[in-house]
Amino acid sequence: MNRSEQLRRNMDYLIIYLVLGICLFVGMLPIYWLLTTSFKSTGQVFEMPPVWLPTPPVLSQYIQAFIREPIGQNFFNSIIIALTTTVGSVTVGALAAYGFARFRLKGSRFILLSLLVGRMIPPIAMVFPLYVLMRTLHLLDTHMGIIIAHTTFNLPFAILLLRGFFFQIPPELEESAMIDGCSRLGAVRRIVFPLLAPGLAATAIFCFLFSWNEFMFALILTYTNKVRTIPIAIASFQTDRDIFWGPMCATAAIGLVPALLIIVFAQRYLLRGLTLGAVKE
Amino acid sequence: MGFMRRKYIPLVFVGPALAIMNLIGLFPLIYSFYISLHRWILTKPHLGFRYVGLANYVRLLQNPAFLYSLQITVTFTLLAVGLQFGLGFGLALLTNVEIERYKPLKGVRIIRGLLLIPYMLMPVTVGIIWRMLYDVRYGLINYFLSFLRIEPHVWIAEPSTALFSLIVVDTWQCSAFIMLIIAAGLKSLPRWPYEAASIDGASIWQRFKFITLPLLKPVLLVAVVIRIIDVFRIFDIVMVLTLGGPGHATETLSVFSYRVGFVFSKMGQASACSYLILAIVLVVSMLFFNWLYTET
Repeated sequence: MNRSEQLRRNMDYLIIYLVLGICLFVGMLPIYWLLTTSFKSTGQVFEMPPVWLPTPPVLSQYIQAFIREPIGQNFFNSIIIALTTTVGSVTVGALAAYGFARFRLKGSRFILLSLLVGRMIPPIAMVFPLYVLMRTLHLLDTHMGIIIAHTTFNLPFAILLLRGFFFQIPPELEESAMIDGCSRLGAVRRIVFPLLAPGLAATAIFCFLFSWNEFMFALILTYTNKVRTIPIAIASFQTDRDIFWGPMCATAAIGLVPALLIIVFAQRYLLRGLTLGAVKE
Repeated sequence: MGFMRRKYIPLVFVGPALAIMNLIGLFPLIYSFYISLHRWILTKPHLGFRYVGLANYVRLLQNPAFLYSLQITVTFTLLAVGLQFGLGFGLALLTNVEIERYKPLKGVRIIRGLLLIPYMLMPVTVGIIWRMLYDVRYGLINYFLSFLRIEPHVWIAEPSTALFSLIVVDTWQCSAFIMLIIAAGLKSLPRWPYEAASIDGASIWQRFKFITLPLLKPVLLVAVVIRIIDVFRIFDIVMVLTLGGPGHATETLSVFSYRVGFVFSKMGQASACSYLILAIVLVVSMLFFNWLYTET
């Protein structure tokens, strides 16, 4: 490549980085704003011109959040519900996905199609009937009620995702293990499971995020603050008299933490999960 | 142990999932549809629970408020998905310049990761952030615009700008998702058509138009359909930012359904509205997938 071509290429790289930089700026600015606002004193939250970096950063908003509302309780609820939902969705989903991937079941195409359709239902349609169902089962205002609801809505996606991952593992591996005397379950445990681990991780991330971020059912299926989760806590800072922006931002910043951790430590698995549904590799 | 016969083993695997989904998922759906066939107004218990067949659906389709909401939703979906698609596609191309024999960008993983953060936020969080940004006096949007001598606007409370403000929020949150899907598609493209084409002297634009686009069509379609399905049903962001207002300017179908059911307590009609939304989404998806399968 001669010099003028190299120069043009470098210019291209420059333009690309510039455009990406602008997109990053627009993308990150709102989040930066949220994070810094959560460390501002109440007066600084609505100051003009805007306070870009609160010096010194204050924890008063976080303290207010924990005192004014039982954020600690909400945080605990969110963790319990999200973790249990994840474990439940992934195990039940993996079992079912294995069944769909390895066995020729009658009507499996119909079931899979209905899983896709299930993704299209507007959540608002399920709200009232689900409330009635949970009330009948005496599961209102319990952790279990929300966990069951979340697991149910996670399962279609989890099954579709895990089924895709199972297809990437050749069945011959299990079959040769079974010929050597392994039971089917043993073969799964020794051979399939290690290969499936990334897929399980990707699915687990999704299930966790869905449950952690979920608002509507966590609200509808509870009537006291006993088991309410972080998203509802955030919204609850909006009373009919006033909006407490400071603590609200602090709580939202806390709610942000899992997403940030996943991006930093588990991006690879996140990407696999997001794209497997769409692109057949 | 007769039930341990080979025939039943698959059921052990698939059974729990199917049981949970049918019990907790299917039952509310059926019940919801059942309600949609009845007239049931919670605040008028004397009217009881009367079977009315498809009357709720007919009444909805003739209701100007419903039709207006449908129009708003369609407009919102087309504009939002169009914008996100353009941005997402562009970002995917920019972060995957290797397909044109450029060296891969440094720091792509970090860039991609950062761009993805908005997509993983809670809708409530996105809502409150943008409410702050859109604030008339203290919001960053008006602050930045003041440098361009543009007057401060009440973005989410003016009928003319409210819908577009919401479109901006959804685009901000979800463009990265489209970027991701298209980027995955780009990565799986074969190299040889590009090399053959550059030997033949094709320009970058020609390579894009005749190689990249046709090969990517399935991926593009999937990305668009997924987003259409999600945007059409949008609810949380609208509720946090505008509540469907001002007036009915941003009352998307899900918000309309919510108002009919939880404000006016007309449970029958609210259910019918939800099923109409589902029907529209289903039809659109089927049309898209049909197109996809006939093209390949």
